[in-house]
Amino acid sequence: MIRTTNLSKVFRTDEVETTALNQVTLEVKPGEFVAIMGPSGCGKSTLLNILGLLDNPTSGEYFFTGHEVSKFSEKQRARLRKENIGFVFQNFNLIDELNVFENVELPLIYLGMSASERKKRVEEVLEQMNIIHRKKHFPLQLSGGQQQRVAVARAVVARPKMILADEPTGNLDSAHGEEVMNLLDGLNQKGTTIIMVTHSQRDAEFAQRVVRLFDGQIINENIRERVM
Amino acid sequence: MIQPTEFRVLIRRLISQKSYTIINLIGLTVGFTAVILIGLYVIDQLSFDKDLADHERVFRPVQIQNEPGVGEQHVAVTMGPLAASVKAELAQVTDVIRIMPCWYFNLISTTDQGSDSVSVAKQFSARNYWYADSNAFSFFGFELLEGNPVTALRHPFSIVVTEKEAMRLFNSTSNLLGKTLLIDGGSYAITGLMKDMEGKSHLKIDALASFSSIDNDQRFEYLKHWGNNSLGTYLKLTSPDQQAAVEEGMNEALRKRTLKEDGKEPDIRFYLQPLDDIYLDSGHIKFQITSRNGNSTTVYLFLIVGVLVLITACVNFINMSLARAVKRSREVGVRKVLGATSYDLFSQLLGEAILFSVISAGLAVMMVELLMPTFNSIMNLQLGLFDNPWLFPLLAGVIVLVSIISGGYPAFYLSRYEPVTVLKGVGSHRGKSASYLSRTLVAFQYAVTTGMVFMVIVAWTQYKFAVKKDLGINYNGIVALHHRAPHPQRFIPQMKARLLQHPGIESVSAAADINGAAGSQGPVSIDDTAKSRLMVRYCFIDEDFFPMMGIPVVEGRNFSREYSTDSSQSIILNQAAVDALGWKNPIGKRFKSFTEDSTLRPVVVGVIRDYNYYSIHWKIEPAIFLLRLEETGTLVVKLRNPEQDSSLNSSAMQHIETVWNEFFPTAPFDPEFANQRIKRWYANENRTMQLFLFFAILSVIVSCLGLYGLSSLMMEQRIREIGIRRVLGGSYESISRLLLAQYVKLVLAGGIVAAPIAWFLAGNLLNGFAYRAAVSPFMLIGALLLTIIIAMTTIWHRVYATSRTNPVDALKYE
Repeated sequence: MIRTTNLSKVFRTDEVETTALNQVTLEVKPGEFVAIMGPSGCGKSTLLNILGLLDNPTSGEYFFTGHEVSKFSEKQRARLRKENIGFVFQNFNLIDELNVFENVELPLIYLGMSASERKKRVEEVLEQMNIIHRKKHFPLQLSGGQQQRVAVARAVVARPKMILADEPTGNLDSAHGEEVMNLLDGLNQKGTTIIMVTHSQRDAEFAQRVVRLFDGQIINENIRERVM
Repeated sequence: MIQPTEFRVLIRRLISQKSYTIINLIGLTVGFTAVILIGLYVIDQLSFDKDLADHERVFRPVQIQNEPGVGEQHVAVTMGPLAASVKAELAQVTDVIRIMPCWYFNLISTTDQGSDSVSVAKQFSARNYWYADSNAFSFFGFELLEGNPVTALRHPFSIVVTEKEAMRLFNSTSNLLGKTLLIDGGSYAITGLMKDMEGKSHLKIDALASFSSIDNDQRFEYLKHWGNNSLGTYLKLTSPDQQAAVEEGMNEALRKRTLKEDGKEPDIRFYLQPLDDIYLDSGHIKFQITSRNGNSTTVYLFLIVGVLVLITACVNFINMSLARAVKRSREVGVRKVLGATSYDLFSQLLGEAILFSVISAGLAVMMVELLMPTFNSIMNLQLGLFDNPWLFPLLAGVIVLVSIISGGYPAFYLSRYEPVTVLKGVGSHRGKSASYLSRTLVAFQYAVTTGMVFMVIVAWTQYKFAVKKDLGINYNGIVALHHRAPHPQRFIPQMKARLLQHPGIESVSAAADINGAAGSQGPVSIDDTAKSRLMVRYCFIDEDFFPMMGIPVVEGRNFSREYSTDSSQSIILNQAAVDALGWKNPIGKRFKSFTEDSTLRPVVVGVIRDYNYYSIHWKIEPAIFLLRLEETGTLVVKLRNPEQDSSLNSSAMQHIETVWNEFFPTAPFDPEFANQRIKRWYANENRTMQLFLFFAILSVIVSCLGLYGLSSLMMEQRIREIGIRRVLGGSYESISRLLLAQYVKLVLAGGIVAAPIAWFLAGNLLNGFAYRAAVSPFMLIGALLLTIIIAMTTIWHRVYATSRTNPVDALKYE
């Protein structure tokens, strides 16, 4: 699915140079569920942004479904991104002015899908996420767990090959968190590749593999047996 | 460009963010209203004479004369023979026409035709009646509904009336041909019915009489000579670029002619004024027969004002959008993550601006509909709205312009946000460039506002100055009765005596006009040399005029009944004439005879103090006063105490009407009050002032709304900073000062930038006046202070609330 070689990211301001990622080499196979863990500021989110094609690395190679994308322009990345990657954020990042249906519909609009096709796909995925009864509601009228379910629905509606989740349960209580993790797990079992950044050991246990980052470097990878 | 979903979302957003929406809508609506009103006005003013045939190659000759006593003057009336000679001698001139007001037409009598007699049916006062050459219809493209355009004005005593005039005279437009009108002692046969002119023109025409009617009229003998300018000539050239060649040819022709006539080289130069320029650009022309003129300075000033108000409104939109960019950056980021391109977002954001523009344009059209009657009455116009063919092109143009100006940059700015930085909350603060832009724009708004406030002050000062200026003539309680009857010397003594029988009437005088001046200008000479020639205004009055009008005789004496020769050979001069002649002791000096009888050499018997016979747009020029009852067409009546005793006043007016009807039983009674004329003189300035006031208020509203909205948003973003300052011991006062200071600085900067430009424009505004009110820098400082006070009042409430925010809440904010 993806493979990086010696990926580095350096942020420069006028006076300070910060190395967020340092020579990261990582491979994720199709259908894998990988958790990335590490303390605040270790480079987790930077790595996720690069893997998610939101940002380019300063140096190193990044192969996404066989293409070397590390030098892609924003336009090229945007095309690859909208067809292949779904995102789930800690703070949901739903658009307040759009209702549930419209939020989920958004990626399909940007894919240029017809209105009738969009309606079918959105309702299907809302059904799947068990949130169809709220489709006319606005994000602020929903609980955190419901909002994250909408966010997951939005992430999968375009049927991406890979989902990137950035602390998806960080803003949720444990019951709702569990619910969201089960959804992700379900998607993974149907073949979607998932890469998840998390602080939570419990969430990490859903993954098949945990990658630990410290000061921008991978310090250890352990493959664990799925605990069901 | 904008998806239906996006559209729904947009509407939702507008509803949920009321204050933002309202500020933007009000601002843009006001801007649109200003620009629609001004746009329609400007288009109206620029459309004059554009419907006349071949207007782009029609010109009118204007002379630059350099006359002793008056200096350089532009004269757009010409010599009678000019038209024929130009037509004959210059190949580039394809057609010429002469037109002239029917000076002696006073009463129009319609007739009943019996089998062998004609009797007067009804009488009307003459309005815009013109003598015109027979090619008037082909030359200007006037349309005849009845009659033959080729022959209608060929024969003497033919007249063509417009539909409107036919309705006034006959209450009908049918069966007019062959009817007879009795005018000025002649009977004119109606030979045509002219369609009312559709487009606007500097020529206002109610009827055209054939020029040949006066070919053998002794009173118009002067039309045959090259030494007299009294009619309008228009030339049609083969093409507009022949202008220079024709000008040269005319100057050559003139030199030949005048040399032959009196052996002197005239100090006259011809140039051609395009027909298209006559209406708006004739402010410099002293004599012309034009019916109406606009003022290009006013038109362009208001065009500038309209555009500035509109830009000010766009600035609000830009600033509010940029200030909200922080809030919207997350949305932009999310959309980008989900696959939106910069272009998608740019279109979406620009779409919002377009939607705002369209809604505001709709609201503005309603506003204009409401304001139009007032606007028309202030501007003395008859502008329509929905029937105006220019409305929709104008609206469409402005919508596009506003969408681009107000939506373009914010859309560009926001759509460039990088999703990574936005979502992380890193660098989500407004960029430096946007922040500078916002400040610059606010400063610009207040530059416009300061400038407008200053212009209002200047226009108001000049208007008050003009209306209140001591003209040197006392028009208090003066009423003019314009009779224009022939041989006035035969009835004036009796009529004066009858009028004076009423105790409410203080005195009565016969004069050429309310101001004594005949309106004409001509040369007088002391002897036969050109050097002693002086251009003067002719004034005809009687003995009672100067005392009645409060004009002191400063040397010599007034005209008097005790001197029988006063009516034939005495002259009174004004001081300007004496100064121009350079005389130390004018009394007793003689002029060359004005008449055929060369022994009658008029002698100066008195000098009066200068007074403005016209408005203060014009300088006081040399004038001579003659006691000639036969040249007077007006009785000037002074009411006793017109203000203190209105019942006496109104009974006096009744008496005047009774007397009028005794002397002129068939003529309509139409007295003119002097104060109305003065008002009319400055009507344009009054209009300009009122309009400036109106647009200045709009500008203040728009910029204050903008400042309120922007400061609210900016202070919201500073709440955390203010919380920290409070925690560290900042007082309410010091924080308020801090918050206010940044805006005072902006307004001040705007005012300073505006100052020189406003100063220059104010100079333009006053250019049309020979006598100007002093414009002082204090007015500018006053305008700036006023603007600052208004601006501070606007945001004070916000500053007060913000500075008192509980630091605990403020620090929790983020």
